[in-house]
Amino acid sequence: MGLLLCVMSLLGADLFQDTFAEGNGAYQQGVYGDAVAAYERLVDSGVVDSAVFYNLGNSYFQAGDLGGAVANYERALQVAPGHILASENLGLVLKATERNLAKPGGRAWEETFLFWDDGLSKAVVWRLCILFWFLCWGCLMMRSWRGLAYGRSLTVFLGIVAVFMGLSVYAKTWPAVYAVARDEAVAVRFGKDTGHAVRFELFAGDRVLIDDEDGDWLRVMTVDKERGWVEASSMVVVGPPYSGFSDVVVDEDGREKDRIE
Amino acid sequence: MGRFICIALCLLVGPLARAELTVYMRKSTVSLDTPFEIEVRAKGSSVGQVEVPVSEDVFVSEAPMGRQNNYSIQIVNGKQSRVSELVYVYRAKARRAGDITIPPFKAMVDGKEVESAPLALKVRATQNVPESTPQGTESKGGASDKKVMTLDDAVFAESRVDKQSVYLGEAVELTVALNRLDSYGVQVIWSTRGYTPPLAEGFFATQSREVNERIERDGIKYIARQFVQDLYPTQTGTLSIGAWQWHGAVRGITNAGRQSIEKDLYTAPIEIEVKPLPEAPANYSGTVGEYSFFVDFDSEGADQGRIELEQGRPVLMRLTLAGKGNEHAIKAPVLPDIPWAQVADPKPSTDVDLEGGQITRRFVYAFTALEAGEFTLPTLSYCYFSPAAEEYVTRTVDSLKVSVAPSKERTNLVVVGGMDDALQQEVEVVVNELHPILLQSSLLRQTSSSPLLPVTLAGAPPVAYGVLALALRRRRRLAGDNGLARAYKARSRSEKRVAAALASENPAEALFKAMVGYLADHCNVVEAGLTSQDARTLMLAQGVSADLTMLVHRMLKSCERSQYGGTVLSPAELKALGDGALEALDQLEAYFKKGGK
Repeated sequence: MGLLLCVMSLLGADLFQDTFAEGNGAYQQGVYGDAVAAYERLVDSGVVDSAVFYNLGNSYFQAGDLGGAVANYERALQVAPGHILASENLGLVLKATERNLAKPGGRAWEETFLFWDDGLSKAVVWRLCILFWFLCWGCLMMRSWRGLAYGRSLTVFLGIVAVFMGLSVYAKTWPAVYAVARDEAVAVRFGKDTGHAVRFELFAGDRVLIDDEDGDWLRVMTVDKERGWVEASSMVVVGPPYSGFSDVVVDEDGREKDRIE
Repeated sequence: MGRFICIALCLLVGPLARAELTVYMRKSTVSLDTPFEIEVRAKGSSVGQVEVPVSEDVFVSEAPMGRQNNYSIQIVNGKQSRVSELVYVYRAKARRAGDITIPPFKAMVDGKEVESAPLALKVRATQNVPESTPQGTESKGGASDKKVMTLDDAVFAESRVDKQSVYLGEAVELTVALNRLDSYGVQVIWSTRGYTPPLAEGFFATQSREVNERIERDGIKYIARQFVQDLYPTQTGTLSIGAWQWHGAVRGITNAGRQSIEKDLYTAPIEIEVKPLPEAPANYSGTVGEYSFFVDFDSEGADQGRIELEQGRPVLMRLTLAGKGNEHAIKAPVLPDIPWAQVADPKPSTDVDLEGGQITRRFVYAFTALEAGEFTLPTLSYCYFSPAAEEYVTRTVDSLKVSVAPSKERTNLVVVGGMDDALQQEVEVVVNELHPILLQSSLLRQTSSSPLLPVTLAGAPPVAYGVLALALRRRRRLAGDNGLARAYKARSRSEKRVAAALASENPAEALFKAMVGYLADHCNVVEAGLTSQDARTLMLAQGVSADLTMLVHRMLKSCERSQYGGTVLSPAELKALGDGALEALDQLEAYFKKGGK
């Protein structure tokens, strides 16, 4: 059974590599629509890889979809916070947006206690958390068994470090959810209906925090705390969970030709 | 307490319970104006509220000052019933001297209205002046003219209202005062309960405020400690404000020097006639009182009588009602539809001026003009009932001209982020061209997160620590408790000894020692010198079964015979004895593991 699983996993990995190579090939040939489609298939298959998100960001940008590009660079940076290429490409794409709106801050407790984990990926923090957790209990056991100089202080210190690491793991597993405006101009309204007056507008590539969700409407908050309701179809939710949103059809020159509704 | 136990015993042995109401008094003669107690006993399976009689001759407090429940179970002809007796103690005071009769008390007992017998009472006249009409001690010249005043006269209580006929929702100001003589060093000492307002059923009562002032009655000066409270009737008809009771001590300087007496004071109940409101107009807000109504904006130019707003920029609009009335009954004004603006739900707040009783109720709205241009804020109105005018009054704020300037940004909408540099993205652009795509990735696999792994990893160290802690605890116990340690090791030690016995020079002696050693270890006694008889006694003392005791005893006897009788055991006999010894040890171990004795 285990062997079967291994074989299936290897076969799956091969399939993913093929799809990835297909996307790369399409990108290099300038057929960005096909590249987007290939990479999105990987995302839809449950692949969470910073390289895929990064390539997808490039493909969307080349296809003229600033919102899709920004969202995917954000995803790449969520998965691998130290991804320099994604960070620099994001800066470039944001420069191309209408007003280069800053990203809203996250949760208050996160900004207070987890100021140190920006450059660490979830996997690294998770391993560190487990390491400190085991060290903490190991210290406690050693102290009970043989006695340990400064055992109590050391145990408390290691425990506190482990708890902070755990908080970081929690924050990285369930981060504040952002959305990126995809349409050129997105109306943000006072209520969840197109009959409500427009409160303000977002432009393609603007990042906002999602603080509520109701059916097809998202309540979003900008960096300067302005709130309003926006139709979910005109936004790209960064995630997690990550899902594909490939509804762009581009022409041979890479320009957006149509959008699948 | 003893009295109630007697009552309970009487009930237990008494006849079948009957609904009854009995009234007792400890004295049949009382002094005028001196409070006395009436005890009312209601007996039955279920006892309802006791109705206090109203009489011109005597005042009885509406609420009992004490209450006690006694229960008993009666079994008559095998049928069990529960009888309860409620004992209420009421305070009362005679209003005239002579022979008076306290009318019957009434109560619903077991679903039937029962009443007590009337109670005859003899009331002695006293020298004291009647309540609430203190009389003179005021000097009219020198000290020789002064009359001697008793401490009883030095304090009196009164309650009054500003009006006795009001409309529904109109305020009634109730003042309860405790007045003490402003001379002779008169002091009052309150009971620990402090001021408790009188019962006012059917009224919404506000917090009472205290006002102290000097008053003069019949030429005598008093210091009045007054408690003032607004009552708002919530139903029509005749409502009653109950009597106020005060219990405390009065101190003062008398002819006999400084003295102190205990005193009970009562005020008479007050009846209020509550009239219904006339038929209300459609825009009536539900508020009763006297108010002024105005609106103001937290915007530039508002103080010059014009309202200037900026498109998309919210400002605060305050609708204020100021006047007298029940703050809790003031509802938010209903705003007309304003299509060019977004008006959020109001946030109410209240300021109360306790001195003047003035109330300011504000409703604050976040008002955002959605369009630029010149607009008119429609007339706002608020309709309330004015008791003074005895009619509904509608206060209005005239329509206001509002000038909404276009948003300073290029769009007509609220501009998020604006031109503020701090709100711009801080990512430094270090490249002019997009970095190329990545052609390789080694992490292309589906992510699957099982909740089992984190739980296991998080739970493993505490579990390991728990196991270690238990093991260490066991080790400490074994180190500190010799008996436990011997019992714990008895089995393995004796097994080794039996195995060694079969190969020894004197196997019978070694076997005997192995078995006796096991018992000695388990019972924590000295092994040396134990005989088979001692072993038998030990086993019986430990509650080992007679069969097993006999089996072990026989084996030990066999070993003894072989040891001291010179009988040499054949290898087969020795093997059988060894097996038997192990079998017996197994049985003994099983018995001791079950707990033994």
